[in-house]
Amino acid sequence: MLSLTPLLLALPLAGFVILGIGGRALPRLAVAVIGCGTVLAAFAVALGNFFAVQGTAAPQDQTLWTWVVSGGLRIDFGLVVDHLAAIMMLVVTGVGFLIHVYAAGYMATEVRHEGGDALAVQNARYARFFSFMNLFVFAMTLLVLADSFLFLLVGWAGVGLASFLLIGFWWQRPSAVAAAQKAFVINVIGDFGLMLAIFLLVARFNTLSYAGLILPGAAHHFAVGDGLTTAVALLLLVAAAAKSAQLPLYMWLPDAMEGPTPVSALIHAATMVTAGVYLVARCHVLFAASPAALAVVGIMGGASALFAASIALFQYDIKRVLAYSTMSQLGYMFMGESVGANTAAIFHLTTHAFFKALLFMAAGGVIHALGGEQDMRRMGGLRTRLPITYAAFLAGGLALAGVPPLAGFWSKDAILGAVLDHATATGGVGWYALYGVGLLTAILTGLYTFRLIFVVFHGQYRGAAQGQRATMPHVHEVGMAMAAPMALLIVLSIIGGLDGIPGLDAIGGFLQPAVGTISATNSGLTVISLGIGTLAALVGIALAWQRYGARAFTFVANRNPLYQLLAHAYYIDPLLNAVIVQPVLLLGRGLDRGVEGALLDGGSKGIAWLVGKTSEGLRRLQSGYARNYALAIMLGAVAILAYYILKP
Amino acid sequence: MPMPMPPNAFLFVGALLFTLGVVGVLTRRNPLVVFMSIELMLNAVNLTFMTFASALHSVDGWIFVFLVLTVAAAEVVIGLAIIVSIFRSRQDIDVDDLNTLKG
Amino acid sequence: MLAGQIAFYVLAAAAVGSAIGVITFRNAVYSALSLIVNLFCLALFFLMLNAIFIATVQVLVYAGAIMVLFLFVVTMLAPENDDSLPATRDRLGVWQQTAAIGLGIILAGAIGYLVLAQASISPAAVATGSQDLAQQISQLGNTEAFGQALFHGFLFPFEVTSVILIAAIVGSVVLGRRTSSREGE
Repeated sequence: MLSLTPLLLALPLAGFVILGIGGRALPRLAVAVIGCGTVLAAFAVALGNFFAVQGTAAPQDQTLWTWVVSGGLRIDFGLVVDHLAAIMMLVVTGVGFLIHVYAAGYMATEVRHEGGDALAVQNARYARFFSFMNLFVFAMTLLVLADSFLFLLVGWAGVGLASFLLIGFWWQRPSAVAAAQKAFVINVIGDFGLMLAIFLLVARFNTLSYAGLILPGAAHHFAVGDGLTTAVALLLLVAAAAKSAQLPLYMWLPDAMEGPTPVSALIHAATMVTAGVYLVARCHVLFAASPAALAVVGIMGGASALFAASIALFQYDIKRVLAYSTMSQLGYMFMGESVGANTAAIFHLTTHAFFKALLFMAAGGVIHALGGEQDMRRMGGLRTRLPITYAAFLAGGLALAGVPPLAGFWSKDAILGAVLDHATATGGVGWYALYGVGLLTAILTGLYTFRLIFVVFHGQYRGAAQGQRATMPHVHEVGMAMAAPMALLIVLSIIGGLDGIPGLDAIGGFLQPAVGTISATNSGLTVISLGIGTLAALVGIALAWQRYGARAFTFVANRNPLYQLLAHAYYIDPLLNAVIVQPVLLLGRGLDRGVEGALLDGGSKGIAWLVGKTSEGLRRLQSGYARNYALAIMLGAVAILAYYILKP
Repeated sequence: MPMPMPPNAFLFVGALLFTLGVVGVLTRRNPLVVFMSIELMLNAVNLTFMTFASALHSVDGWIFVFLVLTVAAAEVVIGLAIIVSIFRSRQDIDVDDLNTLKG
Repeated sequence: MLAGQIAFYVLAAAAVGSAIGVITFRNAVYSALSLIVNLFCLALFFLMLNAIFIATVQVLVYAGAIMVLFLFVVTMLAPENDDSLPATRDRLGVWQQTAAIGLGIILAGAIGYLVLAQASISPAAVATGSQDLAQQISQLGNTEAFGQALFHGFLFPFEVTSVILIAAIVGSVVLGRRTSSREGE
């Protein structure tokens, strides 16, 4: 079964190529079938791999061909399948497939709304969308299956490219183009960190293969206390932060909402943002050897979790709330990884993929039902009109908030339990603080999630402009193609966490060979943590009910400075604009005028002028009179003769 | 019959004729006269060839002269045909009118 | 020997004089006639150099064929008023004439200087001459010596000249064709 692994790469790539080249000529149904089918087939392979690795202990590394041999450096292109990769592939292709199916229905409406052009143009866009989606899945599978850091980088950059293409899918909108560029630039910062890490590794160990560096039985060891270990770990962390939208490289994620909703789902649930978590889990040997780097992981995760959750409290764009919640949940995952609970982090990654994909699908359903409206202030009371979407939102929201026994509860509290366990084991104040941050974030999560649900689905419809009587437009429930994946994800969001129940912990046991053993768990503490976590979620929900659900909700302008701070996302974007963007622009303008304009342009213009004048002078020599030319020949003849006569 | 004069005398006459031919090419505007001047130059060279053949006791110079004669005949045929066709299209012949190549 | 020298000087003067005539006559017919005189002088020079066959060919081909062609074309194309020489009416100005004449004097002076004052044919070069021309002529006769050389040593160049002549014939036919018939329609 493992020999079929290359198909995991080949199938989405084939889909990308076919749809990219011939998609516009195909009918929409064929495009959807190819786009979804390749991912479904890849999922089947991933499933086979999942069962195939179950009994094994060592990673299955297959080298397909040798890429580069340069001196002592030899880089093979190969695929590694171990328990971590198997789980990741299930998530990427499985959730990815569901999102593809959803997109098949969603984009049919979207191209009609957005395009407004001829049918052929709409069809071409439809095909383009699916080819990019397949490219995204391909890049992600390459990222996960690569057996060396070099091809990790290829997949890493490929994911960045695919996200750029998809976020900027509606390139007619300037805001989408700006968002795509922002995502690309920030992702390239991460790529740069990864590259530097690769250079360091080559310089020190002269190899980039996982087998030689980080897999069990590797020839090289990362020494604790070695400066290189920490440097590489921190550089990898830069890459992880950029891909997983952690502080301080998170800015692209909220803006990425400019892409069509399935793209948001794909970025947030199945691909892209999970790459950072995957990278840290993949390199857990390296991180374990550097306590400093692990502390940074924890600080980054905790800060991002709290930061994003607080911003999510007062956002009005339905997708932005979800975007910040993604960032917050990823913070949880990094918190888990910082205490060595990689299994819990991957577990949370999996369940998060379920309910976040579900939430985005439901949000897409709401947006479509209201004809493109994304502002919560013009929603409300949709519960009765959109029952399927409401159910999906409710299941996803409960799972996100961490209400037992839904998926998010088990995975999030596994992380919180691990953090608490680590704190008591080490007695470090910092770890206790991290746990506190996690709890606070859990409360905020419940609050913003249910604020969203109450405001959108409960109360009265507030769609019309102020002062007018609000009448709901003709809203329509999602179609089959969109409802079916949502239904499946509802089920997964509810029961998807049961394999991680403490004591059973099937997923932890499965992952253990790949990502290391968890530190000894104090089971009593775990139960206490579960209780506290539940309590935190319920407190958050109760606060949301009290504020937004219990009474009719109306928006009033809030002048509270704290509110303003949060609603404007801590003013980070204006700050960045003032501190980085404007000075760079200023510098660019200065260089444009000073160096480019005066020096380079002036120089080249001067040279052009000189050449022009010279040739204008020389042009006189070419009189067109044959006798003149003959005279020149004679002059030459006389000159040669004179040379021979006068020669001593 | 031995040579009545040293070879250098013949060469000098050839040089003079050649120079006169060159000056003719450079100064005349009638292409026919220019052509005649070219013939003059060719003949000056022929004289030189013959002189050397005689001086070196070698028949090779004759061969060259023979070949030059052939080429000159061919060249005159083509050249005159060109002149005629130019005249046909312009009703005038002046080498200075043919200056469309000027920069 | 004295008769030969006198003949040489007379011929040289005639050759140079007729050459000057070629380039100075304003009427192209006179120029052509001058050129015939010049070619005749050269044929006599060749005779003086023991090349009877070449001298004959010179008269036949040049004076007989080429110059007839020249005269024919000259008389066909408005021969009577050639206003070449007055430099003032020359679009290239006086300086082209002046430069040409100046350079011509320099060229002639330089070659003449080399020929008369410096150059001499080394006896070694004479000794290594491939055949003794005089001996061949005395044994074989003038024309046969030439023919032997042409068809034994220079057969290939000889054949190439036939290609050149054919090309010239074809070219003249192409150029002489009336193209106006096609344009007119």
